[in-house]
Amino acid sequence: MWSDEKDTIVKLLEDSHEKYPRICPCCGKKTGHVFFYKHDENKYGSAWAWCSTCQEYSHSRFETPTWWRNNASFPLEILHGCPDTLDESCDEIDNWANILLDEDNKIQ
Amino acid sequence: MGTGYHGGFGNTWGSDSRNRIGKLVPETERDYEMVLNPSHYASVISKKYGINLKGSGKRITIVYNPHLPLGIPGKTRKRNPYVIELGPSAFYSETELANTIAHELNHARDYIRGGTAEEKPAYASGDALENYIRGGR
Repeated sequence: MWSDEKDTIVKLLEDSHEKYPRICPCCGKKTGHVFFYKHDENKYGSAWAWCSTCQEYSHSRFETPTWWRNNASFPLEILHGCPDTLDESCDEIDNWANILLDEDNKIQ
Repeated sequence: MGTGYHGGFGNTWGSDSRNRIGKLVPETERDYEMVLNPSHYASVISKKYGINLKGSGKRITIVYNPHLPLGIPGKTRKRNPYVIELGPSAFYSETELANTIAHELNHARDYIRGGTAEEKPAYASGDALENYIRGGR
């Protein structure tokens, strides 16, 4: 059952070029994921950090990372607090994040 | 001349409201109490913009959480939707603070109603208030 009790899960949002999925800071399994939504050109969009294994998650407004681009497969209309829908596509989301991180690495 | 007459041709009470499009809402100057107590300051800003901190008739409380990481201005938890947490990032500007409160309040009310805290209406709330503050409506 999804829970937003443990704030430790937000460590998945820390700036790093480590690929996803990452080690979950709550349960230690390599099933930690993140997803962002960039809201127009605003500084703040939204972020989700969650673990598919222990089902801890965090959702909040967030200063979206510069390397992130929105994914048309996950429009604003389907996004809500709990990452249950996002978790169903966690592989696709991880791949998307990793592609963007690779692009960012090449630029730097 | 009617109740709207102030004095001087073409100058009536209420013209500031009618003609405010394009004018930014001036920021509230923070007093000592507001600087010391971020929750109090957030409450002052909520009142300033007429943000009703209630959901299904019950009070929603704003709490300052200094441990929210930078980059996370606000948070509402499903397990306790009667509390909105604001972090240090929410206080960079009055506009950002108001936007965050409006956004999180939308989530809180939806959780209280048994909803899922959809993002689209929450952004609509925050953006509408920010647009107002910037004189866009």
